[in-house]
Amino acid sequence: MRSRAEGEPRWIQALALALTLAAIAWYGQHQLSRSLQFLYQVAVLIYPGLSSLLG
Amino acid sequence: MNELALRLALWLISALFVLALAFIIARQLRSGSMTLDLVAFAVISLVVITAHGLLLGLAGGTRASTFGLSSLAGLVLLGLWPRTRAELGQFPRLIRRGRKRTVDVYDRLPGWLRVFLLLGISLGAIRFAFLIWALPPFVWDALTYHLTNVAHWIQTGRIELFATPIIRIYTPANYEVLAAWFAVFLHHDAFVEAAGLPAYLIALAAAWSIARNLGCSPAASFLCIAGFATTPALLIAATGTKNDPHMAGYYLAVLAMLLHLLRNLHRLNARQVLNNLMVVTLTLLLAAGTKAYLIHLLPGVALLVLMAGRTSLRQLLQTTRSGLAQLDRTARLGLVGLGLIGLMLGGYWNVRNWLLTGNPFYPYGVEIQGADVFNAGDRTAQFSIQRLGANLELLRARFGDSAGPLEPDLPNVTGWGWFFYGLGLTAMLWALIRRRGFRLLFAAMTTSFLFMLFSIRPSAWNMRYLTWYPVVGAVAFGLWYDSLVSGGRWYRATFETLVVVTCSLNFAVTLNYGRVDTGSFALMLERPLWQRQAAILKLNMPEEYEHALVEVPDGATLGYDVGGDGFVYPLYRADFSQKLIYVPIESDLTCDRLADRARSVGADFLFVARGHSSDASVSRLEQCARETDRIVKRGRGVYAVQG
Repeated sequence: MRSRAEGEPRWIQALALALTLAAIAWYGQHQLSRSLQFLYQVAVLIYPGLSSLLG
Repeated sequence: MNELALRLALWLISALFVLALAFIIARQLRSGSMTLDLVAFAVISLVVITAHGLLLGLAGGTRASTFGLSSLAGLVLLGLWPRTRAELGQFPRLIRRGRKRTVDVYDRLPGWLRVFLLLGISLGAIRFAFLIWALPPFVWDALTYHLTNVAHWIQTGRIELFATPIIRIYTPANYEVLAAWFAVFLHHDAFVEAAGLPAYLIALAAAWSIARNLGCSPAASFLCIAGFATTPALLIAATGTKNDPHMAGYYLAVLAMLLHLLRNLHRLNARQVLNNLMVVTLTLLLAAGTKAYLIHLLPGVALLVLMAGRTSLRQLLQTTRSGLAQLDRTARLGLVGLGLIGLMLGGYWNVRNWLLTGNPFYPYGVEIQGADVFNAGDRTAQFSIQRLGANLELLRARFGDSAGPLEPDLPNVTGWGWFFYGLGLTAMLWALIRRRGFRLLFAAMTTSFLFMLFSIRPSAWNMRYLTWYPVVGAVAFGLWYDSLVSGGRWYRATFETLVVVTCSLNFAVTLNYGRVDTGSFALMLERPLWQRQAAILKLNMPEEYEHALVEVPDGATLGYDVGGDGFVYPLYRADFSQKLIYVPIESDLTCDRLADRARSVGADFLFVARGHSSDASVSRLEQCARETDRIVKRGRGVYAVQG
């Protein structure tokens, strides 16, 4: 089935982007460090100096 | 030939039989959509494995040799019968056609999306393979009852009930039969986590089909499934050895098939309509024997059908009748046979429970607005407004996943992740206003969602039943993405970047199930694959389980006493070699009588564990070890019984 290709007015696009960024910031305030925690652990294993580098 | 090679050969034969039979059946049930034909093929493969496993298991044949030999006989029959042989001859041509169509779609995608997809699929496959290979099962309910069933069946070679305080072994167990297929050939749990992967793939293919049916372009549909595929709750659950991802896959498959059927009724022929309905029925029956909460999801499915309107439904009925009339005798027999297999898978567990206990939903009861249908004390599922209120209040607290990490049991979080909250929510708001077709999907899925909240017990862990809901946000985003054509290159690129970022963050949090630290990985990786035991991985495991592993010698029988939510599975060991027997530690018995009781049932050792056995049992055994020389402490929680 073909997609609908019409666009949205500028103000809707601006509002959507603002809401999206706000939602990501809202979600990220609790989840960012948790999401990167394991990658950080692995990075420290590979390069032990990283923890002192990042304080 | 060494034993491992023989076991692998038997597994290969069984897999070939499953794929061949499923291919032949799926060819007779073509739906008019290539994606849904693949979904049907996957569902039918699971039906074949489960039906084969259930029949063999009930007859006492849950063994690699029985599976392998019966599969070999099946393959020979499929090869000898001209009609099935001719169908199998179509396989290479269909693979070529499928490959060509996939490559055509892929080649038309923008370059960045092609790279993103290739990278995502590769990393996803590596992640799955590594986690399955590196870690033993560790999720709570799996260690309590899902895998306890699997271990007992494989150890005894028979699907049966057995004496244990874990009464949840009575619950519908199609998933467990499937999981047993992943463990019986090697007689080991090394790859049992892979049993969730077919369900994960079914869920993704269904999401693709839903997105396409609601008008998303291929590029937008790929973004939709990328967003949904990385939903932490789903991704973590896929290899978590529980049955919830299967329910998510089956539910989404049913929605996708009905949506396809109702939106394309005008162009589908009578046979395709009938085929779609048959696969929907089979999927629902497979789901009914997997988890009883299918009933809670059905109102949303019914709403989707009813919203098609009276004219469409009348046309659907007429076309189905006409499809039935067109069937020849062999096809009718095949359909009846398939229906009977479906009824067996959908009904066996509940009928068994009804006959044994008088309650088909045992160990759970049912209460509707205060009226008992089947009473089971605090395990009674209540359908009530109060429950909806309590669950909505819990959802409010969990919304945004702020209360804790995203890990398998989803404690006080939804697990819906970065993509759903970051991009999906706004897109849903937009799509609800601007896309009529989306409103249909939203209404159906939200109805299922609310009916779940109407009835499930309010608890910290009940969001695992709702891992399918983020599809709503993913499809909404797909529709939104297609509307960005007039937004300018940078605007579109911003959203594309946000997709990559949110999916990557979702993926990052699931690399270790949000739970396993590097030390635990190291602990497992320093052991050979065959010695990676659930009892050793101390994420949620008291040390008593490892003591049992070390202290109880081969050939000895271990008597255990744990509560209704305690772990039994780790005691079986990864190769299901440990003989177990339930020995309740009764406080009114003298220590010598307790030792007599243990010996009389064949137990050489007794086992209790803090947090899994009652405090009274734990302290009683401690006391007995001090009072009598017939019960000798060998390590915390492990006692040898003498004399």
